[in-house]
Amino acid sequence: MRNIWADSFLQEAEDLLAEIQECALGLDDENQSAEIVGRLFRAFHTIKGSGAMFGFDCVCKFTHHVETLLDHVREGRVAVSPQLAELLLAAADEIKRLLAVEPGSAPEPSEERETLIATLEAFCPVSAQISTAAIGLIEQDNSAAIAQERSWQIVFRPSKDLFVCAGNPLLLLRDLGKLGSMQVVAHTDHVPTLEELQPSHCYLSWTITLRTAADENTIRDVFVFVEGGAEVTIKPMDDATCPMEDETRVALPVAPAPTSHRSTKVESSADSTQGLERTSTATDAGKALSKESTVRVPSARLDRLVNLVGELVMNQSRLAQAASAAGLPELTNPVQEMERLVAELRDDVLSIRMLPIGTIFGRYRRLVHDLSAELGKEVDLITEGAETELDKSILDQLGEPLVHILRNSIDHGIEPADQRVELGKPRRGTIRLSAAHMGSHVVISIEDDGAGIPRAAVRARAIDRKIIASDASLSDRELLNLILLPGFSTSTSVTSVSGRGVGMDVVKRQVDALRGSLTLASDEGKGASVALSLPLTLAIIEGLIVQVGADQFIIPMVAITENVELERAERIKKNGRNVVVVRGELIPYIDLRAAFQIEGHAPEIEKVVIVHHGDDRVGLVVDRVLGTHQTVLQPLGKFLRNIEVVSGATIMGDGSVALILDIAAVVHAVDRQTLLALSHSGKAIDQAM
Amino acid sequence: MQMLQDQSDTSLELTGDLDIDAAVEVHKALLAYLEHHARIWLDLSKIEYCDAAGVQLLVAAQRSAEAAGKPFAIIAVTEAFTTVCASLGISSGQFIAATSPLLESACMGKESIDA
Repeated sequence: MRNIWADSFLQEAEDLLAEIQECALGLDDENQSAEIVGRLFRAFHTIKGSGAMFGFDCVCKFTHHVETLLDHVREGRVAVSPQLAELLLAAADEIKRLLAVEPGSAPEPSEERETLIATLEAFCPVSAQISTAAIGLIEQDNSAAIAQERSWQIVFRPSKDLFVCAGNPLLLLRDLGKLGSMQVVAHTDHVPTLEELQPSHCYLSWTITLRTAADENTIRDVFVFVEGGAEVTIKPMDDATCPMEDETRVALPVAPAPTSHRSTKVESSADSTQGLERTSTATDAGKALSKESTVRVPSARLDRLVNLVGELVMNQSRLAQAASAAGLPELTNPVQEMERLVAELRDDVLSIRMLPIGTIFGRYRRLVHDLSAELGKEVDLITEGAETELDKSILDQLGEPLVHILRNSIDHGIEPADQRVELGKPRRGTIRLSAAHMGSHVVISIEDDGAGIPRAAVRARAIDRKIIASDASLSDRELLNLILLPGFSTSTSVTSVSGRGVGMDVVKRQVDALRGSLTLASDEGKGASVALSLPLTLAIIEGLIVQVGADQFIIPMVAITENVELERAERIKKNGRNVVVVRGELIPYIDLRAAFQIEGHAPEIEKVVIVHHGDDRVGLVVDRVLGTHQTVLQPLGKFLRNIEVVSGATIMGDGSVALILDIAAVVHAVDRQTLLALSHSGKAIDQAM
Repeated sequence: MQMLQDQSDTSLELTGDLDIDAAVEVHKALLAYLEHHARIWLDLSKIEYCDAAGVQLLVAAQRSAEAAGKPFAIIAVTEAFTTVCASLGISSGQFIAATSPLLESACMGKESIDA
């Protein structure tokens, strides 16, 4: 059984592999290649070092080959090339496979791995290959010594958690000492008295003067395990200002020389700690992986926290109602304060679940890279708005829909390179994946500069499959939306990528389930775009309580644009046509009493809550609007989960249950009823259901 | 980590490892020793291993002693200790008091107070 530190390493390795993938795919950017190579080296170096600590020897040995190659790249002895990027991606894949091998056990022999190692070695200069083979796992490249030495001033202010994270300054300084000669000055100014001291905290900091032929990256690599929360400044020094030459280069003798100084300059050599250091245990090393700035928490625990906050919000609402009913003035302030605190807690807890969408962008870069290679197309993926945050639960469910859309873009949208040139387009196709906040929604847009959606083919296919009548009059949007129907595909061939007619309907269903909307646009010959509009969170929403008869419903506040009144006389005047005029705009409405078959009579003056539905606005007619409500979404349970028009339920302050309306589903259901009624009179085709 | 107090109750001998694993225990012992003694004399001649957390404790102890107006001194050290101090860029000399007859007398027979 693996220990928790090994699991922690595996999680860390997963992140690092994602970073490697992202970096490898970005290697073609000449302006940033030096920085990217540095990031790649550090990521592989960390995997290698941590892998060795946790017994993943096969990972360590394999990664060493990659690290060696990257060292040559960093030193400019091997050029950055698309082949190198491919090789690094393949290496990352191999490391992923090796991570599945139990620590301490040998992996199954693999011809692929051997070929990969041979390729990695073949990329290295000949002299380096010999030295690598001879030295084995030696970290330092001796060729660096040939380069000219220079002096560096390094200021290292570690995180307070350095010790508990198994950071050992002695080992760090020893590693630094291996790079050249150095002077170490410890600063003890921040060490408090025993009474104030937390023994596990590190209050020490260091200024180190290092004379070495190594470059800044190599020096920085020494700090790779302790960088979290630490301040590491590395500056080159003029030789004129370097004090080392003027000072005695002897180890400090143990002498009875009391001094009031809190720091002392001493010469430290590479072997000065020999006999004193300890081999890090797995536990110690595991601590080294944890970062000061972030904490990994199982998402199930986070979900439980959100549920508990949800319960708290509901109970707070009940308390407020009870306090109001009791009419006790001494309760007013505490209840209001409680309300403020609960709202703050709710926002903070929900924000913990927010993740930048960029965390899933990385995998799409690889998908586009692999898929375009598979289909013989040349495609660039441009991502924008990676920092846009979205609730983790939404992000988790967004993966597959985005994969479908991107596959469609590459397979159906982007033309082969030669064809693009003939059409006067750039040889390489572009897919732009962007995310941005729009009010309380996040809009994720996938645009390509391919052929666009062929409207004639869509129409022909729909007629062929009897989805629409041959003379049906459809708006442009209705025509494009046909591709969202189950089993619809205009592709004449089935590939491993797409064309089986499954995909876009699944995408639509999944987006609907997330209370989002999907909008298609296409400019034939120029490209197509899919925009997904999604709510920021699914856990707690601001809702408007409305009443129809004795029933209460919640309408998500984000969907509401305005409320207007509807008098009975006005309805009669419209002669049964369900439309209301708002500032000259004709807005169709749905009578919830009729739609849900609620008994009783409507009041003389009803309310129309006008909501967004896609690009349109639609009204929902209710008896009364009761006010706003912090709505904690609760699932309906398995017996009621087939009710499409509601997305969940919530418990009101008085303990009653209110259903939360799913606007898109309500509109869809009413549309369906209308279409069914029309189809009975032979005016529509029931396949559209 | 073992801490021994001499019979005349003038010095505290630390034995074993003075490192992060022992830091909490040594911290408590030093606090107690500081509270009940007019001077803080530490004997580190039996320290087998020491790390930065251990050295930091001694710096803090020295600081506490100074704040309380009590003399502080390390009366004996191992080579390992001084090497670690040197590697960390801390002068072990700042702790080590000049040998005096008083200190020598402090290093007489000790009894265990903690194990």
